Amino acid sequence: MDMPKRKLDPLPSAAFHILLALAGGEMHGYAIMRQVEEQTGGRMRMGPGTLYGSIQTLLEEKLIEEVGRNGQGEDRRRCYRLAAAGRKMARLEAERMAELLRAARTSRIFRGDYV
Amino acid sequence: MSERFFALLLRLYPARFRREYGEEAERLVRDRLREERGALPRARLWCGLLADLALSLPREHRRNLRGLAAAQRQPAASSGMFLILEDRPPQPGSFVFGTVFAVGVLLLFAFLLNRGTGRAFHGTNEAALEAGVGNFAGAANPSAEAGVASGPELDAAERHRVIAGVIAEVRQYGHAAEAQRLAEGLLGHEREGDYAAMDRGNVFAATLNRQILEATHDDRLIVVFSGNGVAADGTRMWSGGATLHRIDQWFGVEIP
Repeated sequence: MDMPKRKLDPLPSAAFHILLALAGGEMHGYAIMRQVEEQTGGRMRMGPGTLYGSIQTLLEEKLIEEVGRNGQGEDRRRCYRLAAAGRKMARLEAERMAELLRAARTSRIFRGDYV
Repeated sequence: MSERFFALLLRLYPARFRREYGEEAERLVRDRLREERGALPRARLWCGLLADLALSLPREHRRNLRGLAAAQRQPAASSGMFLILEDRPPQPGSFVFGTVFAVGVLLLFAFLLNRGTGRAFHGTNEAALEAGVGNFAGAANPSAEAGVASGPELDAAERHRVIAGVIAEVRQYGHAAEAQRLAEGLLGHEREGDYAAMDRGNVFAATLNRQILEATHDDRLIVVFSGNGVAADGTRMWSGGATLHRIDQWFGVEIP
């Protein structure tokens, strides 16, 4: 019997960046977007559709969890934190990428500072 | 204004997504609008939002459909009979927005289509005017149709023969004033050396067609260049119902 395919296999880039952002502590959506922007040097600026769509998938896969709302009145925002499974998934993905980087170095495609 | 426009765009997402994250998404865009001021940052913001919309909208609708399909597969006894009706029915405002959006998209599509291929709607004459490439006597000529000039390179004498032939044709059809204006224009261009660099027949024919149209305002008279050449048999040939008057071996004038 075929195993059901997991939604996050392979882990999409947006989802990986959200997991990395949440590794620093619990955050609301806007803070996650800014953190991702910072950790990618401004290259990735997630729109609301991608951000909340990815958050929804990560919640469904139990890789992150909602921890309630912070703030007052209209400024109350839903916050999220990394679940244990999410931390493990982020680590596995990072290891996979490190392995890829090692392979790239072996193939001598880098020059100068990267070698 | 921008916030209201985004709120409208948000309506394109499935109700489930809007219910869960609509408020948060609007707040996120509000925060970004507050922080990203100025023409360039705003333009970048909207480009990003529209690209995000294009990418995430199909994904969210697929997810919604998967959710509904999964709900349908649930045994009726163990779940609510009306689980599939979880999505709220569309509001009257949604229909209005959908109609306006669809009309807008159709108008944009029509505008782009007209810009891209508008000339095709005006018949073959305008296409021929632009291309200056013809197919004498119905002979197949793929290279000419592709706009690739074949045949000999034009020299000044050949160009002059074509110009004189065009003027004669216009005179012959009783357009004396136009023929005079055209003659002055074409011969003037020739004297100025405007045609000197035109050594390809289709380029020369296209240029003449533009100038003929300017002088006569009659798009029925078209100079046609054929990479095949024509048989040296006489003065008239027929091609698709059009009369082609022989000017020389490579050019003709088409008058439908």
